[in-house]
Amino acid sequence: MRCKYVKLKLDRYIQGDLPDSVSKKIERHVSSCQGCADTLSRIRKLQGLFEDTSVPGVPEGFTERLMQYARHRQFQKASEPKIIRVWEWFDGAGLRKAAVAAGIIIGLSIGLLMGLQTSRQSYKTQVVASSALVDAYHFDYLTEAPENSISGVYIQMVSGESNFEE
Amino acid sequence: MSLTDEQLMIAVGKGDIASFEQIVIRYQQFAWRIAYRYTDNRSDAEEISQEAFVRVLDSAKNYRRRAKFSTYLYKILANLCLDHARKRNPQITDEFSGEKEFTETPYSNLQIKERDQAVRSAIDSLPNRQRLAVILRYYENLSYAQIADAMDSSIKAVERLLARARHELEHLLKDFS
Ligand SMILES: [Zn+2]
Repeated sequence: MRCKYVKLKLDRYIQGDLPDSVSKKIERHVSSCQGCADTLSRIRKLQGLFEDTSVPGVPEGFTERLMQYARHRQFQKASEPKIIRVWEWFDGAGLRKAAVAAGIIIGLSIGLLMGLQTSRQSYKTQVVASSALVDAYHFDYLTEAPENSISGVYIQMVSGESNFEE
Repeated sequence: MSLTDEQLMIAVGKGDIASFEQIVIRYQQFAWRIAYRYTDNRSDAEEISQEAFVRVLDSAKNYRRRAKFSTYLYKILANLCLDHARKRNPQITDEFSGEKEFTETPYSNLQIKERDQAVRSAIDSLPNRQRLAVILRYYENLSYAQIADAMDSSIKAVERLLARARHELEHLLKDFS
């Protein structure tokens, strides 16, 4: 091993960042080379000077300022291209989902009204019937909607998973 | 059970601001420390570390689970540090050292203060890339591979960069070593 190569690796040797085989070779070289042994001890000495841990803590209000900005930014992003977004939403799949959602609202409203007139038992039947509608009309892709989204809530209601009865 | 950084980042990518806050809480100390050591100035350090998180937020959509989050953040921080034009002059350096609290050490506080100030000004006098590499290696204890990754460099180049930096520092700090 040549000194020039060894000297470049000594700091990684100290850090334990080298493969064992290389580390062993360096150890052997250093034990028989005064020049590299001196460099090794100089690096260790220098490293001892970096123990200063007195960095001040994160400034007060750091997170709050950042989060305020982040929320503002999210809000801006969400509201900026308002018109375009509405049209995007009503485009293609969006329009289909909107129509389905509207259908379910109407269906559920009728169901609820009927439920009020009749017994709680018949209301439950209505919910099951709505569930069957989901299967029949392939509304099932709505189940991919994120949790707590409007569509997600409809699906939960329709499938009777929701605890709104309690 | 808490989510991993990577899981949080996926959620941030979907617009979950609460997950972003978790990321900030986990990493603010780390980001601030690197930026502060690099700039040696509180307002610059705040600017850099805040900007780093804004970039995390903005790029979260493109974040890939494969990438370890800390590696991702090192890279953003390294870029911001290196881009940071140092407008600072010696008269307005941060005077925080006066407020430091020292723990028990074999040296007197004054000696330590003197030494730490000398080390800080020696690091400050290094060229930008050397300075950043020294901070990542000797204060943050990153591996050479991590430093190379953060600085868009190779391990061999980092070995040479740090060897030059050490050579310079030894010269500047010969009274203390
Ligand atoms: Zn040698």
